[in-house]
Amino acid sequence: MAKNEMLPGTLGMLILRVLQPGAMHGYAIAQRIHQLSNDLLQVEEGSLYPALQRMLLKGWVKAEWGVSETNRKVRFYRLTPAGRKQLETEMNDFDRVLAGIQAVLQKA
Amino acid sequence: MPEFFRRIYFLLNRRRLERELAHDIAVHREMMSADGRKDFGNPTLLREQATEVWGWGWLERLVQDTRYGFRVLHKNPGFTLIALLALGLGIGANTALFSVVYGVLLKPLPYEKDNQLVVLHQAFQKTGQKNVGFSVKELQDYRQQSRSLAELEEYHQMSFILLDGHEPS
Repeated sequence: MAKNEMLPGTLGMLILRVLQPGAMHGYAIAQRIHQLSNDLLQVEEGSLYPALQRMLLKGWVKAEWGVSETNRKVRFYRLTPAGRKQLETEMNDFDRVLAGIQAVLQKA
Repeated sequence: MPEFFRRIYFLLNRRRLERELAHDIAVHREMMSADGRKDFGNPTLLREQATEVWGWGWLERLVQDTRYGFRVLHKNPGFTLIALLALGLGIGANTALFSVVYGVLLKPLPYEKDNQLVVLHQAFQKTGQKNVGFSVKELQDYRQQSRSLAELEEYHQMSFILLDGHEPS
């Protein structure tokens, strides 16, 4: 897989997952995913912000004003209870699909 | 709050939410360049891609197109006048025509069981005369002997000259 590409549909799950420990602003979310993936995954703004807007609309995250580590006023995105439930569902679904794919790859 | 209401909320507050989003993206870029990463993406396009998720793009475009339409009409008063006249005449003529068709053909008659109403005409087969008026005797025959008609009424027109007590000269 190319460096910037991500499995379709997984970006939302990754964002929800990195927000699980606490609220973060947009850039921190992208950075965190980058770091945690050992620099394998890169989240561009072009996909990050539409994804965040979608989650706001779905009620999975809430945006609140805060101050960044660089002392800039910026919005932090926080997981809502609905978001936690969604993350759980998506992770379970992902595990199942992944298990299925691996089973086929190994047995065929 | 269900998603539908949030969508409405996003529509009503879209100016503020767009500003906040633009601010988020601007700060994102600042932090990126502080980290030594360059990005040449178009922030406006980026913001539009993100707000498109709200699902109101069609409405925004509709409003824009309508405004554009009015501006063009405003700039071409002659064309606007002719277009309005053509539309007005077209619609007016159709409305007038339909009113007539409706009144004459479509509007139900103001009687009970109007679908059972018939108009009788009589003709004399031997002489070939058509539309012969009904005599009182004939009406009585029809009333008594017809098994298809529940009731029968006769009407006709007559002309008179009112003389007001004087003889015509």
